[in-house]
Amino acid sequence: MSRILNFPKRFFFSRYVPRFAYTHIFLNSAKRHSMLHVQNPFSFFWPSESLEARAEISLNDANGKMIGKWQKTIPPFGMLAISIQEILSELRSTAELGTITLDLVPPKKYEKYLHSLNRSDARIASPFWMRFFDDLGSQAYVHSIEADRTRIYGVPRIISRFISKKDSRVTWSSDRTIRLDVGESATAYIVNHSRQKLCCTASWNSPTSGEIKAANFIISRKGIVEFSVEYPGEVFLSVDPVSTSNAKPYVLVQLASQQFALTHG
Amino acid sequence: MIKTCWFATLRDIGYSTELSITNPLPCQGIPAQSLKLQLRLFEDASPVAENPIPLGTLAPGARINIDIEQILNNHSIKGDVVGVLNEIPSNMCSEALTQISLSEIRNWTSISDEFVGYRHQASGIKSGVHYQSGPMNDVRIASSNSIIMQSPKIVISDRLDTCLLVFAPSSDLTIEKRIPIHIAVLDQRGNLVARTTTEIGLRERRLFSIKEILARANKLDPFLQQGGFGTMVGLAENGNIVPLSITIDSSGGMAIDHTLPPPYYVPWWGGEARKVATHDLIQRFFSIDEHQ
Repeated sequence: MSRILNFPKRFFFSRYVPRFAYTHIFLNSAKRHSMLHVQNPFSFFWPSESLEARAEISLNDANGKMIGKWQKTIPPFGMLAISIQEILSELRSTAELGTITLDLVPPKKYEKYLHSLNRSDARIASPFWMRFFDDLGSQAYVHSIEADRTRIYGVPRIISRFISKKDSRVTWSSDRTIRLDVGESATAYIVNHSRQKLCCTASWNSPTSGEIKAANFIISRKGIVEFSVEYPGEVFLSVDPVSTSNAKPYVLVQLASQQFALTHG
Repeated sequence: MIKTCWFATLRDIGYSTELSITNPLPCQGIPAQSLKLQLRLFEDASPVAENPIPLGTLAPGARINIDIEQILNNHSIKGDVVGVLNEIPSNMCSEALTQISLSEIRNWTSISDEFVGYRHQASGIKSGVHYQSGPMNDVRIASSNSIIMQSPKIVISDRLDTCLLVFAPSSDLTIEKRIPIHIAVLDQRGNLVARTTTEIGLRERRLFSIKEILARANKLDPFLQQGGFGTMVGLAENGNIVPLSITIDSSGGMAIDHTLPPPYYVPWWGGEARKVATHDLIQRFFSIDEHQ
């Protein structure tokens, strides 16, 4: 019986390799810039072969509206460092805030290699980094936090919908307590990684005196909102709920000098 | 050690260190209980004191920021250290040794991130990185370890250098080992530009400047002319290391982040595939007759 039940699974995995693309935020103002950094990971996991990777990038504005698509081939063991401003210019967009999703497509040879391993968990994920910087010397790297949960790549859309997990929305609080001095601020960037519209409440809290500031948001899919606080003292961020179980917001801390640091929450 | 936060300081490049810790209990099936905090520090792999430094108790839901720089000054420690904050569940405090399954340890590790913050002493600029430190370099957990690090985060310019901070935690404090580490710098096209091979002892830290590695190989200028971007590759065949990439601006601005281990890209990673790939990569980039 189990062999019969497993047949569709075996048929599926012998034909497709599901890919999980990751989504980041970008900042693109006169003041703050972003750059995408990604390597060709396939080379490192099958180094005896010469494997190219194709980076397929899509950008959405802060309201979740598609800006456009862009792609580039990464040579074996190579990497791509590309300014978001450059991509947006090619797409004739002036968006200052938005999300970027990267699907790294391997050559067919790599997919065949994964099939040859005969594993039901053969799949591809392509996390990447965003570098955020300004002209004052601020630098920040953030690794991919959450995959694009609106679809699974590498399979037909109908199968993507069928095998996608339902969004798991959870209450989230940062484990980091930020100490802000006078003139400093903290800004959360909350992203909706899921297929459904997100209605959430975000709050900046003091560990000793409780809630400092709270706001309700409705965030479209692949959309993003900003939520700032200025409060001399210790603060931490909570969001109820986040769009998926691992959809940690980004947190930017701006100093009185206007320089900033940015991490995931 | 049930739940830990391993970290390394960056005093040699002008930053102080602060840990931000939360007791998130109750969560993930673990009932509410306090965490007793103890700090151990290692200077050049040797413990700076016979006994751990007690830092009090963190009640369920409580938070604390621990100023490591102040603790180092209080103990007249001048140099850099590797440290481990031990977060001991209150129901395990009284026992010297506790029987616990690997899945329970993994559950404890994952209940919260620890944030390791760095502050540039001269400019006041703050940065930091969240991570979780599970058990490492411990034969009770795994009989063989290896690392494939691929970090496309090299940015070099007149103002910027990218460094690799490496330290080697060990959840078994009784063992000694030295781990050979191979570091390669690849350009954007995937060509090998420079490399170095060294080793690190358990509970030691090392900081490698990519600018210096390139300069030693007489490759700094050509690398800058090609844009200054590239990938750091780190390989270790017989041990676990924590690699953190750091891009530093001359003003003190600092980007720091951990790298992503292979299971983030290929969930099935391990076993023979891991060993063969690590070996092949070392052969490809570090063949003996071309060592620098």
